[in-house]
Amino acid sequence: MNIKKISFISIFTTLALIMSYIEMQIPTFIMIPGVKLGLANIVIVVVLYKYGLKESVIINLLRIAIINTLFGSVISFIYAFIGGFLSLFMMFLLKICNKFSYVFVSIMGGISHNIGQIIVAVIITNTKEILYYLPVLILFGIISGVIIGIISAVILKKIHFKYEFNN
Amino acid sequence: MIKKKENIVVVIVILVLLLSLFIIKTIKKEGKYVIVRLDGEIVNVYDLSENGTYVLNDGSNILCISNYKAFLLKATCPDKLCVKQGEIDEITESIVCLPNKISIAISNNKESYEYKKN
Repeated sequence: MNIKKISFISIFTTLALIMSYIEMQIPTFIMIPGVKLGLANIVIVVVLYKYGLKESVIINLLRIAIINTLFGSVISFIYAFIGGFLSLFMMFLLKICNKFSYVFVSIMGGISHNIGQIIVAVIITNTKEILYYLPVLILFGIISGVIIGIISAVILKKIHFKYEFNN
Repeated sequence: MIKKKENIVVVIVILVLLLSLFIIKTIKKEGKYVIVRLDGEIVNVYDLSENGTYVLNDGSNILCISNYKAFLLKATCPDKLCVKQGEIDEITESIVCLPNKISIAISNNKESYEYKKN
C-alpha cells in the first residue's frame, strides 16, 4: 500500500466521519431505535465501486471505530460494527454479481444494516419484543437506501475520479 | 437509476412489510406487566396499573409508570433515544437503552407474573 493510497483512504475516512457528524446534527424525527439516514454510507458505496472491497472495509472500520470512540460506547461500537459490516458485505456480494443498480445495492445495504442492528439489540437485551419493530425499520431502511443510493449513483456517474488504483 | 425488475422486488418487499405491520396491529393489545431487563436478565416486573417511579441499574435509567403507560424519564446514555421514544403500553412495543443494556417490554403472560411473585 503506497503513500498515495493511504492518503486517499484517509481522505475518504475523514469524509465519512464528517458525514456522520453532519447526521448527528440532524434532529431525529423518528424515535424508533436504529432509524437513521446513514450519510456516511455514501462514502462507503462510492469507495466500494470506485476502489474495491479492501479499501471500503478499512474506511468502514476506521469510521465506525472513531465515531464510537468519540461519541459512543463499547455497546454502540458493537451495534454499529455488526450493522455496518453486514451492510458492506451484502453490498459487496450484490456488486460482484454485476447485475444490480447502485440504488438497489444501496437499498439492500440499508436493509441489512437495520436488520443487523435489530438482531444485536435483541441478543444483547434478550428481548424478543424488539423484533416487532423490524418491519418499520426495514421500511425506513429502504427509504434511506434510496436516498443514499441516488446520491452515490450521481457521484459515481458524474464525478471524474482522477486517481485510480489498480485492483 | 433503478432497473424495472429491481423496482418490482422492492415493491413486493414493501407490500410484505405493510402486511406484517397490519398483522402486528391485530396482535396489538394493552399489556399488564412491565418487564425490565438488564444485561439480558429480567431484573424487575412491574404492574402497569400501579403508578410509580423506579430507579434502574443504579440510576442509569429512571422508569416511570403512570396512567397505564411506561416510559423512561431519564437516562445516562449519550443519545437519549430511549427517553425520546416516549410511552409504551402495548405488547408489541418496547424501549431499549442499548448503551446501558436496559430493555423495557410489555407482557401479558403468566411467566412474568410468576417472576414477580418471587
